[in-house]
Amino acid sequence: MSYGRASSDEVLAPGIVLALANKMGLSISPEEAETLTALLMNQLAAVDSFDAFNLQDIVPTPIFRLEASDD
Amino acid sequence: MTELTDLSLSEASDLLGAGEISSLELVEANLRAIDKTEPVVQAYAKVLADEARAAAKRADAEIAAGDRRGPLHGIPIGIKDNIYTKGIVTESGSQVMAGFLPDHDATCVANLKQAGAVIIGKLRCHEFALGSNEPPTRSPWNLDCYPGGSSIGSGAAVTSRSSFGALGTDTGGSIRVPSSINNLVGMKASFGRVSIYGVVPVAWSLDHVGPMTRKVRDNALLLAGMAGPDPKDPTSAKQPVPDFCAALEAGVAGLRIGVERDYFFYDGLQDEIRASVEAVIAEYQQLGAEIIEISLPELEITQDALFTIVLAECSTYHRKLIRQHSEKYDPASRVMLQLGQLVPANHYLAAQQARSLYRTAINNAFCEQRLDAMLWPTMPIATAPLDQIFEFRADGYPETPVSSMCHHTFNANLAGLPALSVPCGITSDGLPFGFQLTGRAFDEAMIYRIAYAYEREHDWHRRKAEVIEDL
Repeated sequence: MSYGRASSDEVLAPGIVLALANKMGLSISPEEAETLTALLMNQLAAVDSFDAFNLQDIVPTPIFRLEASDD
Repeated sequence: MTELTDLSLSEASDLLGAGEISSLELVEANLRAIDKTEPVVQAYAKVLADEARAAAKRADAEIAAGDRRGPLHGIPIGIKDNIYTKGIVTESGSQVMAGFLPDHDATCVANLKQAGAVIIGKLRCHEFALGSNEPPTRSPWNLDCYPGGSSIGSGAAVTSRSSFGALGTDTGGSIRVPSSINNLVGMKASFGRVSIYGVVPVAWSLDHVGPMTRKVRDNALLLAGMAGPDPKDPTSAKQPVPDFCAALEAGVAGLRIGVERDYFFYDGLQDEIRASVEAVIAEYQQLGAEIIEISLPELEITQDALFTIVLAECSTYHRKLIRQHSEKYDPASRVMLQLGQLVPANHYLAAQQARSLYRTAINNAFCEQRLDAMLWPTMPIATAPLDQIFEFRADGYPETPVSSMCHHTFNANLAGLPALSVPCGITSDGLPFGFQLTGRAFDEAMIYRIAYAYEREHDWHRRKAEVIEDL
C-alpha cells in the first residue's frame, strides 16, 4: 500500500510518464502526469518490501481455487 | 420510527415464521425508514419500492400456503450496486455504467431470491468499489466522518434500519471496514464460498461477496442464503454449504485462538481500541478459550502485495473502458486505473509470490498451533473526518487514515480465509469499532460460533446512532 509512503519524482520525469501513457492510449494531461509520476514512483518501490523474504522459488498462482485445510 | 425496524434479521424471520408479522409489513417499515433517513444518510442508489411490495406479497402468500422456503423468505435485503440485478439498473457507482440493465442476476442474488428474500434496493458504493472517490453517503454515527467503504451504502442502510441486511463486496476490507464503522457484523467468507459471477470485478483473485447485518445469527443466515458452488464462476469452490448456525451456542471452552501482536497491535493502534480488544481477548480466556501468542512476520508484506495485485487486475478489467470513457470516470478512480496500467508484469507476479508466501505462513500457523481462529482489531482507528482521510493522522502517527483503515484487513483477502468483523465498542467520541476473527478455510461456522459467544454477553448490536433515534 503506497498511500503513506513518501514520494519522489527525482528518478522518473513526468514527461516520460506522459509520453508512455499517451503511447498506451491513455488520455492524461501534463498536470495529471505529475500526480501519476509521484504515485508510480511509490508503487514501483512497493516490491522492495518483498526483498525481506526469499520469494525466488515460489510459483505465483494468481487465480486459485481454495481448498479446505488439513492438519 | 416503527418498532419493526428495530428487529434484527433473525428476530424478524422468527416472527414471520410464526405468522405474527408479514413480509409486507417489514417492507413497509423499511420504506418508512428510507423516507426518514435517506435525506441524511443517502445509502440507496435506487429504492425498489414497488418491486419489493410485489415480492413481499408473493412471499406472504407462499408462507400462508405452508410453503415457507427458509429463514430468509420474506426478509428485505439491500444489494450493493456493483452486483448485477436482472432488469434493475446496476451502475457500480459510476457514470461509465449509467443506465446499465443486466439481463441476469448475479448468482448470489439469484440464490437469495430462490431463498425467498425480498430485494429492497440497490446500495451506493465507491465508483467500481475502488474506494477512491467520495459518494454522498454518510454514516448516522457521525455525519462528518468517513462512513466506510467501498460497501458504503450497505453499512449505512443496515445501521439506519432501512434494510434488515445487505450484501457488500470485499477486495481488501470493503465489507469489514464499513461494518466496523457502522457497528455491524460483516463477513468476508472464504474465497470461493460465494460466487462472484455477476459482480463487477475489482480484482478477480481477491474479490469476495458477503453479508452485513446487525447480529451474528443474522449474518450466518444471510451467508447461507447466498453461498454455494457455481459452475459459472471459475473461482467458486466445490464446498457444500453447512448450517452455519448449528454450533452457534456451543461456546468457546477448549478452543484455541491465536493472537499476533507485532503487526496488529502496533503503535498505530488507538488506545481505546487496543484496550477494548484486549478486554475481548481476556473475556474469551475467561469463557474457556486458550489464547495462543503467534508470530507472523510475513504480514509486513501484505499491504504492498495486495495493492500491487489490485492495481494490476483492476486496470486490466478497465483497460478498454478507460480508453473509451476516460472522461466519465471520477478523477480519483481514473488516476488509480492509469497507475495500474503502468505496473510492470514482474511486479504483479512478485506480489503474487508474496501472497503465496503469506498464505503458506498463515495456514502453517493454523495447523502447527492447532488454532480454531485468530483475533485482532478490525481496524486500528475507528474512522476519521472525511476531509482528512488522505492526510497524515491527526494523532501524529505517520500514516494516513485510509492506509490505517485497511492495515488489518488486506491479509485475509490475500490468504482467502474467512474473516468476520464483530462490534466490540464505541469510542468516547461516539464512534463504533469492532474486532476481527479469521478462521480456517471454509470454517465460517467456527468464527460465527466464537463471535456469538462474545455477542450474547454484550449489547453493542442494540446500540443505535443518535441521528436515527431523533428521526
